[in-house]
Amino acid sequence: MTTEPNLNFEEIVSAYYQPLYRFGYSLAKNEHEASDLAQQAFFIYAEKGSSLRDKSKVKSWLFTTLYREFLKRKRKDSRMDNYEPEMLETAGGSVEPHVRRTMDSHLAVEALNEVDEIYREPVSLFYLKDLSYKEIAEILDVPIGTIMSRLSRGKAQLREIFKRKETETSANTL
Amino acid sequence: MDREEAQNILQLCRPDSIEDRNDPLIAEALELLSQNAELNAWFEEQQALDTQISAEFDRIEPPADLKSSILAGMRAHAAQAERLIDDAPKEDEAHEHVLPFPRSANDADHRSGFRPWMGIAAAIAIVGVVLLLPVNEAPTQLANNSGAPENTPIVATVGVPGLVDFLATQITEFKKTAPFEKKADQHTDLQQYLDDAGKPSPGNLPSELEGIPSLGCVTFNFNNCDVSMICFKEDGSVYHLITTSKDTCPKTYSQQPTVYEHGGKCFKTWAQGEKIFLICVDGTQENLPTAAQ
Repeated sequence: MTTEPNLNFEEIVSAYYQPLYRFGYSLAKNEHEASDLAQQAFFIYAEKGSSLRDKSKVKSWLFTTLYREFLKRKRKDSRMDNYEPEMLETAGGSVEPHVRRTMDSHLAVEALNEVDEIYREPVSLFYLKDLSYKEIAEILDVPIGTIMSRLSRGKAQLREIFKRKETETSANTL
Repeated sequence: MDREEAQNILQLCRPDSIEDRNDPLIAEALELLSQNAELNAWFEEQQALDTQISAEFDRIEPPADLKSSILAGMRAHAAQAERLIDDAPKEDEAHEHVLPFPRSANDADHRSGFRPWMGIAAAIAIVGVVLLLPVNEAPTQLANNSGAPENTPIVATVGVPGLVDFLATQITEFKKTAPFEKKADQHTDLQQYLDDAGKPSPGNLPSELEGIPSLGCVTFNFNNCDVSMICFKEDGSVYHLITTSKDTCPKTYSQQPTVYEHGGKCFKTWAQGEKIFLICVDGTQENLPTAAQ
């Protein structure tokens, strides 16, 4: 085994495993599946990353791969025979009670869960801060104008929900 | 830029993000802040809330062993690949070299993304790439076109080439029975078949199609010009990669990708080296595959 590829792998893993996990968590709302999605994205990179000509695109490649893997799993789980982005956008998992307990500490994620389905992915990628809006458009495979519109509406929704939840939390602690 | 437009653009600017602030569109909107106190107050409020929400997202911590688990898995994969390459002639024994991809401790009760067949498929693919892939000219035009203005596709509405018209009809007919000359989920197998048959093969795939399983291939003859087509399928979408030779094709194609919508299909065409490439999908250009990287 040569060391250089491993060093590259390690650098890449170190740089991106956290944001990838967070994106996976925002999609799956489940820490096990989020871990699995992140791991799978890196595994696919290990398998196919050598064909990536522009190494500066590793980050968006990994996020795209994780997102596609999530959609594949959802499609399989839901036995969706035809690929319809709108269907898949509404196929996000529901939050089970035992999972919700772990999310209570993440007010933003909880609030995100109440945002309209179509806005969730762009908004979560936006707040992960690792990707530009152009990269978000690439990852979600929608035009930049659409991303701008979805971010604007999604963020507005999230802010309202977040503020409400903050107020509720404050009231409950009084 | 009016205030509403500026607000929409400023929504894209994250607190403390230099990259966002250097974006030309956002930078133009930011310049308005000094001229509009009301807009500036709105922006500061937005930034404060964004900071708060981002902080909440940052609190999501991955499992402590996730990084080490990923690294262990990737190292095992690299070791597996090297051993397979060393033993390339012994393709039949590849199964014996497949190492399990380590699972995170957190995955114990959860499905793993890795399956034994993936290791076998990866092993065969690696051996296949080493042994079978000729050093053909790669259709790198598309691979490098993101962010390269000179490679931005031109959308053509008139002057549909005869080859595009021919293919639109052929593909419609082909889809009724899909009489593939060869079926395989690895494009390298299909390319080997095409090479053996003396038909044009693409060589390295355009980045849009990398990693997508193939279905099969078929060849056509258009005005004494050999044309090959490899079909790929992912998530219910079928993509056709068509390859022909510049030498025999009557029309000259530009290196700059051009998009044609014709016959209920969309074609992206470009020339690279001595070959002409087309990607065809049903519907409009929005359905064309996009490069992941």
